[in-house]
Amino acid sequence: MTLRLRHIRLRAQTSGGLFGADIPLKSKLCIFWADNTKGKSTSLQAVIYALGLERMLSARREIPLPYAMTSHLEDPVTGERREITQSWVAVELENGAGEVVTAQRNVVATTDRKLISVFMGPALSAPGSYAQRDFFALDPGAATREAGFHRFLADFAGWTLPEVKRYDGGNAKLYLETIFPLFYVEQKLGWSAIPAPIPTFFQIRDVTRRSVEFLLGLDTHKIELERQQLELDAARLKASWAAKLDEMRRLAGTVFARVEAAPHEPTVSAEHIRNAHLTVRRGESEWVPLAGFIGELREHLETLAEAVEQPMQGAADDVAAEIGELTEQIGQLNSRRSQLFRDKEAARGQQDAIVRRLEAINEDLQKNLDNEKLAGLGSAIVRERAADHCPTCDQPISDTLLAQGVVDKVLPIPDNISYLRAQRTMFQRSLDQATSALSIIDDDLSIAAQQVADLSSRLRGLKADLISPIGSPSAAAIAERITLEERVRNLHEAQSQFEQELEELANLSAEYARILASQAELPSSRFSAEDRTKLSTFEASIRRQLAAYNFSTFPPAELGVSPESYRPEKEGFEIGFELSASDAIRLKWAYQLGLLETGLGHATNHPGFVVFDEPRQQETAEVSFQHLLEHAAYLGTKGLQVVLATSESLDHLRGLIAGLDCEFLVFEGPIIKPLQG
Amino acid sequence: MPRLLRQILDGPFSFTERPQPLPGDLRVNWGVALLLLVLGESRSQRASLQKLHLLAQAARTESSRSQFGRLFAGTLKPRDVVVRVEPWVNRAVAFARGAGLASLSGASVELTENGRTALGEIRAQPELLGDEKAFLASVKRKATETNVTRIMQMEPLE
Repeated sequence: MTLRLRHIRLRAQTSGGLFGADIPLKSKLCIFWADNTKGKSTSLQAVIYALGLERMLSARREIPLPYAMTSHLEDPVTGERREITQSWVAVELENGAGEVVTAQRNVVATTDRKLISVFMGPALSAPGSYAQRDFFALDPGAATREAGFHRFLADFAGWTLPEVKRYDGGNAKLYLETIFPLFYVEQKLGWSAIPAPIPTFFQIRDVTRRSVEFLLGLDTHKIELERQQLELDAARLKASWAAKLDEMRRLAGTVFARVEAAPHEPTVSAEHIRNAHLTVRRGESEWVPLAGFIGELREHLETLAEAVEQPMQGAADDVAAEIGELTEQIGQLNSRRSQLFRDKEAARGQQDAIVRRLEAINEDLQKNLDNEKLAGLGSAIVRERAADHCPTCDQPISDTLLAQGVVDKVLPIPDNISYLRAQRTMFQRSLDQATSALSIIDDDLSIAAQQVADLSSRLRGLKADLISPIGSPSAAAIAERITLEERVRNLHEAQSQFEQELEELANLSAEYARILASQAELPSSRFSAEDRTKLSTFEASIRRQLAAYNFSTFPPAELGVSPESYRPEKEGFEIGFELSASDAIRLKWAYQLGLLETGLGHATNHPGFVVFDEPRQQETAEVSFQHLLEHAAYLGTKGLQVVLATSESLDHLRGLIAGLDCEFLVFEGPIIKPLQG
Repeated sequence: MPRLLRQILDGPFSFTERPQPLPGDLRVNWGVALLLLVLGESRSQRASLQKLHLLAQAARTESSRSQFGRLFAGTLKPRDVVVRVEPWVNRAVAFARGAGLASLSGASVELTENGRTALGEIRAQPELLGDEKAFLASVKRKATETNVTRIMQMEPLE
């Protein structure tokens, strides 16, 4: 997360020869002096342009450089006007790993201005032949695509730019143009806002907050994103859980079984999941666990096997009695089936009625929503007449197309809408109930049909037994055995599939436990502990500086940084116009250097350099300016870079910086000069 | 009244009138908006009261839209549908006229300048009365004054 400016170069080929400027910079306080209108700001703006960042100044993609780089120059000796035929700017950068690159971009040229050439070495301070790669800026994708310069620059600086929400609901990477204003204070607009004039046309929600959070490396945005992600995961898991339960019910339905004790909502309790089981009907109304029932059927099968092997004894009377019993049972079952059919018809009729009612409610709801929109339209239809006043005589009337007086009091539209929504919920519930009642009847019908088939099959066997020769195997026993074996196989298959489903449910449960644990680990407040330390370090730095700069509107100790907007505030209120103009500038110095200083003891994304173009705005008192220089020099000794451009009177400035550890660059006359050769 | 009930209800009591819910298509704005849409889909933004009645009633509900849609498409005959003269349409016309959105001459109704502005605003919101708009646009070519008269006289459509 480190970036240093090592060298700035401007070149312009004119009708009167080559002009240019070179500004070598060190990683400390660099004071860069030139008189007014001699090209100080031009040199600093050149950095913005060379790095393809001009949109941090305005949405228009114009070159942020004056005529001296775009049109013509004045020969300092002869005063003649020299037209520029070609010009470019370049800046040499160093990152935290000690790598140096040089970014060069044409201003006046025949080539595409969106092109930025990068030389992989200190091409300005130590000319040589370095590998060169071309990137593009400004185009969509400059921040994200491989060939985009801003992606290269972010990678070079070691920045992982966060995903942020746009106003249109989509996501975007935070743009470099929204971060640079926090440490690059240019002369025209830079001083006008705290934290900084950050461009909003990228349509990023809460862009200032997001930029400050990124620069300070706060976890809060990450925490928020994680929180959202976990909520999404939990919702997704809930849906999978419900789908799994549906699958289990369908499986149970194929063998006329029911799912019992299955947790409807995701649970972390393995026991709850183990408790889930299938039950089947035994006899008229008794439901028993499937696993045990299969055992019972198997036992029964064994006795049947014996029966088959034992030849028929002449017990024709018993057989005849059983036939009578079976016929009776089948009769009862059939009458139960016809009752069930009647129930089913009634249930279906009710279901249809509810569906029709729901359709009518939905249609009416739509019309009411239309009415709400019409009223909210502010349209001519409403302007000309309020719904509850007669347009002709202006007397109050009820909002209805029925005859007046039929309805005395009409429910207001929003209430009418809530009323319909409540009705819809109610009918939706009745529909669910009716549907589930239908499916229970269907189940019962299938079971009864199965029972009739089983009994009929046994009946046929018994009838065959009656007329079969003595000593042959019992046909009834064989038929029952075959039916039973089939049943046991099916039930067994369902049982083992059900167990597999339970295992998958257990996997979902483990996933759910992970989500819950992650949710519990998230800090309860918006900020992590580290975030709070950073913010208080930041606040302390601002207060200390304000005291040193003689901030006088109120005691610096009362100043804080809003945890919402990161703007300075006093007792919870944002500071606005109550500041004197010079105190506003002091606060701006303190804020920007505070951001820089916070990076000293904490891991932040601050690149470790700050550029101030004309910090002595509003004629801030001399004593303040001196303290600013002192503090900047102190930060310089800690390895940070502060570049100050000023046109303060030279002698005076020399006095101010006496004894300070700084690089002092003095440019007499215009910075952009004719070059030899 | 049984004695027991009388004993229980011995104190004074009063009734408070509660506002009543109303079908959305019986609200004034909705009816007037539908009227504007019918006029908007008519030639010179002008229609006879007869046509207004028929189309307003046809466009009002899902089932009437489907029925009249089939009528104009030729799969239903005029004698298969019932055209009613509904009082709410007359009241909507009266309100629209009172508000200066439509003017009446003889038995025909025409959009005024204000009416056209209001119509433009309703049309600008695609979801607003969306089904009704779609229906009116789909039958626009067939729903001529001549055909409306033929429907009323139970004669085959042109």
